[in-house]
Order: sequence, then structure tokens, then C-alpha cells
Amino acid sequence: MKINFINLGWKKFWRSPYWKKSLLSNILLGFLAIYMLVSLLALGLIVYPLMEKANPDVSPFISINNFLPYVIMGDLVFRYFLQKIPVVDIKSFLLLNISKSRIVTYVLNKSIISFFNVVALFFWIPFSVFVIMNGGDALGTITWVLGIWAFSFINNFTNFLAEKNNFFFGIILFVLAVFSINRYFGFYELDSYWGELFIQFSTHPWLAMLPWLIAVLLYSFSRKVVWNSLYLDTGLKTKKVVGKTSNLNFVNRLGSAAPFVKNDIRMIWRNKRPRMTFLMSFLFVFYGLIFFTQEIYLEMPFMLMFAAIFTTGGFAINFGQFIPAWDAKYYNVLMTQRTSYKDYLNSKYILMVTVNIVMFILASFYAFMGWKIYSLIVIGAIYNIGVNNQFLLWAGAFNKKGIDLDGPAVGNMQGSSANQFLMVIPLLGLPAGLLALLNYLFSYEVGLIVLAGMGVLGIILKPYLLNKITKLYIKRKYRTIQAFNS
Amino acid sequence: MIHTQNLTKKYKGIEVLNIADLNIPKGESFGLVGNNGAGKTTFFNCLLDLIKPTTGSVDSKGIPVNSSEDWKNYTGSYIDESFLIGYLTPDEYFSFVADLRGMNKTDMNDHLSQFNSLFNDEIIGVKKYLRDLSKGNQKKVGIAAALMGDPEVVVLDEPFANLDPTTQFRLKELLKELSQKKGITLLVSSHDLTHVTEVCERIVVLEKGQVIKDIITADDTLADLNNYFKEQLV
Repeated sequence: MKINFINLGWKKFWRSPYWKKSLLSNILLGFLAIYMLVSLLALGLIVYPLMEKANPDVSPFISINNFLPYVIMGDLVFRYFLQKIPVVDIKSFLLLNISKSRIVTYVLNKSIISFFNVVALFFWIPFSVFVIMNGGDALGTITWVLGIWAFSFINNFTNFLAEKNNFFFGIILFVLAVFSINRYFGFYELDSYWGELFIQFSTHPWLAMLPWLIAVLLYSFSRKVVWNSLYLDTGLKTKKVVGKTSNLNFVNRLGSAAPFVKNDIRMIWRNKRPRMTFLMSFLFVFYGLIFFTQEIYLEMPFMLMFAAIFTTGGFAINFGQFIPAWDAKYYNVLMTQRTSYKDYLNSKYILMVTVNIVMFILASFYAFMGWKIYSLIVIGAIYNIGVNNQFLLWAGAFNKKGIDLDGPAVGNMQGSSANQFLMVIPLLGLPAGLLALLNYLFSYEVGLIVLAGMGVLGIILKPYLLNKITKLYIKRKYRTIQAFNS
Repeated sequence: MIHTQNLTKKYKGIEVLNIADLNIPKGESFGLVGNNGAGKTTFFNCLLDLIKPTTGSVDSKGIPVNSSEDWKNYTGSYIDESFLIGYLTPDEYFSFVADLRGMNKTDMNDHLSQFNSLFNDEIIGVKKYLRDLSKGNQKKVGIAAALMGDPEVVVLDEPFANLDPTTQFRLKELLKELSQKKGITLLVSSHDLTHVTEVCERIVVLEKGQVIKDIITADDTLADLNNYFKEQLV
């Protein structure tokens, strides 16, 4: 009997429904990995001579050993953020006659074969060549590198075991911080004690077995942990969040759009990705500070308007560009209910305007920076409410990719298409370009007045425009349904 | 064949299963009925070592299922589609399971040919991944795979749900044939009292995790069960 787990893993990878969608981020990750390898290799080649130059009295070999605890703890922190714990569809194997031991071995082997476990060698091997060339004992240096390499695996399993444990991670960060502060202020000279320990790997080659022994112990401990997690109500349990009922009565005064607004609020608050999008959007309030505080930008109307639009429109743009893709999973339900498309779209508009206004209020502090800056914020807000929000609604009619609500919020390209990139041009480029152009042709004030006028016009024409947009959505309804279902 | 003793399962102090002693002899066709939340799936999960019972144990052929995995070699089971490997085509999945069950290609094709009328040309040779099949077709794949390799014990959770009427009839015939001719020990749960009384020789009614009735199927069993569940309304 031959179970080809590797073959299965391969199929899973290529047939994943997300694969094509995340192609771009996979390629980017690949480049990042190559970049890291090359950088470490280069670092390994130049560090020894550099250290020698910087501190001729101490051998670089000793200095680097003193620094090792930080490297090892840093590696652990790094892994916590970046190293993915292998996901195996254990459930599908449980009912088949595959022994648990094989499943466990497979899970752990998958974690061992990781970029993170070999990356260290790219630095240590070239470095050790320098050590040997400068008179280091060849055997001792090799066992020293092997000893250090074992820490990659110790960290691998530590990370594996502590995967869901923020508390443990907090302790590591705390220890690392204490060590670093201690080192920085020079309270206690600990480094050389540690360094001395690591140097033993080269003076007593057999000692390099010790960290490997620890790694093996951690491996067998991990085996036990995985073994015990092979139950539906332990390791394989999907997290169930206790559902909270909230009636959100204050929304009711919005009339016929209220049910949709309520649902949107719940959708945003109860799902990872929209919640993060929502929370992060508030950071855009400070976006203007980057530009408004720099002398050179103050003479560039384009950049000023660009920043002002983002300051009050951050949420509307991030949220609005995925209308109606947020509801992709439930689009069918919405379409089979007695709902009015207009109310549905209006609710999105209300939501965007509400956050626009909240952001505008939060952005009041720009008033302290003078009228020139604050007028940008005011006009940016009017323009967002009148023009951009309706543009976002209109563009949403062409969205063809649903959003996976449970996906990660940061750097997640899922659901993005060329649409989203093209949309930025009119959203930000048009007002910023218009201000720059009118400033050049007539004057800065004319530019501001025109933008404000456009915003006000958009607000006045909203009922008319909303009807037009609704018609467009209805026309494209079947295409959208089909796209979201596939 | 299967013997449970003092089997209980508690979640946060709430008892969802409590069966003092249950013995399922070899060759018996055993039906489990009960309303939602009665503990049917929990019982099967304990039986298949998918969850750890709070107290007690399940023995298969006299050996606790959580101490040895030998039972996997003679037990075929299907709980729901989450146990399928979604990114495989039906053919790939069947050959994967056939490999595990030690069947060669001819054995596998022979086995699957029994299901031809059931599969209705929507499964074999179809270029679709399991995750994209309808619920009913997923269930057919799961059941056909569970019966591979002449298992001695077959555990099926709600095998009739989501299936079209023709398939339900065919499946009933198939299960009866398996238990009568091949002498397999069959454990099924169902909400459909008619089906379960037709297929099973013995029926156990669960209610809030406890055995309420344990009856040998007779002519009046269906009426009896119907009455029992009607009374639950009041």
C-alpha cells in the first residue's frame, strides 16, 4: 500500500480555488524569499571582514557568538509572523484506514521541510568559511555551525507548539526586549556568558549534539500534541464564536434602507476582513499629515487634493470598491427576498457617507494647520460625499469577484481585479488632477470652487443618479449572480 | 462486534450522550433514530474514535477503538461531505481509497459497477472536483467509498438524507443485501422512520443522549415509532 501524500499535497495546491486568485501574492512571496536568501548570503560574505575592521581587538567569531541569543529569539519572532503552520486536511484521512502515526508524521515532516529551516545556513556557511580561513579549527567550526543550525529546528517546533498561543509569544518578546534593553544600557554583561556557551560547540564538538537532542525531544513532544489533536472536538474543532444578537435599533430611523444598513454593520463587525478594513480606515485620518507637514507638497495642489480625498474617504474607497462583492456569498439570498435594489444600494451610500462624516469630524484637528489646509479637508469631504461615493456605487455594478469574508485583511488581494486598480484613477486622479490643472490655468481658488461645486451637484443629483445606478445593477444582475456563484 | 460501556460525553458540563451499555452483535443491522441533538452523530463519532468520550469506552471486536487502530481495516464509514477530499475528482478519490483498502483496479471497478444505476453517469468519469458536486452526489461518493474493500462493519450517518427517491430505494436494497448476504454489521442513523425500519433489524431511539427505546423491528414498529415522535410534539 502506498499513500502518496506528496501527490495529494501537490494536487491540493494546484487545484485550490484560491490559487489563481492569489497567484500574484505567491509570486511576490517567492521573490521575497529569493531576496532574503541572496541578502543573507551577501551578509555572510561581508560580515566577517566588516566586523574585523570595526573592532580589530575582538575576533568576529567571539562577537557573533555573543550576539547569537538575539538572533535566535529574533528568528522565533520572525517565524511567529511569517511561518505558516502546515494545514493538512486531516479530517478526510481519519475515517480511512491510515494510521494516526502516519498522519502525524506527515504533518510534522511538512513543517520540517520549510524555507525557514534552511535559510540560516545561507548566512552561517559563508561566515564559517571566513572563520576557517582566519585560522579557526575546521572540525570545530563545522560542528559549531551544525549546533547553531539545530536552533532552527528548535524554533521550528517551538513555533509549531506555540502556534495558537499569544501568551507564549508575549513572553518571548518580553525576554527579547529585556535582553536588548540590558544590552543597550549595559546593566549586566550577559552576552559573553551566552557567547561562551555557543563557542563550546567548536571547542567541544560533541556538545553540538545537545541542541539537536533538544530538537528531537521537541519533535517527539510535538508528535504527542498532534496525536492528541486528531479529534473532532479538540484540534480539529472549528472555532465557534458566540453569536451576539444586537438589534441596532438606532438605525431604524433610516427608513426602508435600515434593514440593509443593519446587515452591513453586522457584516463588517462580525467578519475578519471587513472589520480590519473598517478599523484600518481610521488611520487614513492621519494620511494628510504626511503631505501637509512637508514644505514641498504645499506648492503641489495635486498631492494636496490627493491626500485630502484619502483623509475623509479612506473607508469609503476601501469598502466601496468591493460593493457588492462583500455580499457575494449571500447575494442569492438577497435576490430571492422581497428587496428593492435601490434600498440596497442606498444603504451602502448611507454607510459610506456616515463614515465620511465621522472621518471629517475626526479630521477637525487639521483646522489648527490653517485655513489653506482645512479648506482642502472640507472640500475633499464634499467631493467624496457627492462624487466619489456615487462613482464607487456605479463601478460596483461591474464587480465580478466575490470577497472571502474570513480571509486575512492585510495585503489580501483576493477579490481584486483590474477594476480596482483602474478605479483609483478617477477616484483620486480626477479631483487631484482637476485642481492642479485649474490652478495652472486660472487659480488655486477656482480649482477648489469647481471641486466643491461638483460635490454639491453630486449631492443634489443623488436621487436621480441613484435611479440610474439601480437600473445598471438590475441590467447586470444575472451576470453578477453568475460571477458570484462560480 | 461493537460494545460500548458507560459511554458519556459532556461539553462544558452539559451531557450530550449517556448510554449505559450497548452491544451490537456481528451481522446485526442497527438503526439509530432521534430528533436533532439527540446524540446520534456524537455516538457515531465516539464509535469511530473521532471524539474522546468523557467516560466509558467503545470496543470493536473486544479492543477499545482508541487503543488500537485495527478496526479501521474492517470498518467503512461515511459521516458527511467534510470527510471527503474536496480537491480530488470522484475517480481519483475512489482509487485513493481503493489503494488504502488494498483493492486492485479490477476489484474497484467491480465494486463501483454495483453503483452504476445509482451514480446516473454523474460521478464516474466526470471532470469535476468533489467539492463542486451536489450534496447528493457527494453523499453517493462517500457511501460507495465507505463500502469498498468488503468491510465487516459499516457506519453511515443519515445515508438517506439529500438523496433522490430512486437512489434511496436502490440504497435500501443494497444495504439489505449487504447485511443479509454478506453478514456485515450495519449501523445507520436516520430521520426517516420508514427507511430505517425497512433496513434495520433493531432500532434504538435516542433522546437527549439517552436510550429511550431499544426494539427488534416487527410489523408494528413503524406505527410505534411514528406514535412516539408524534407524542413528542405535546
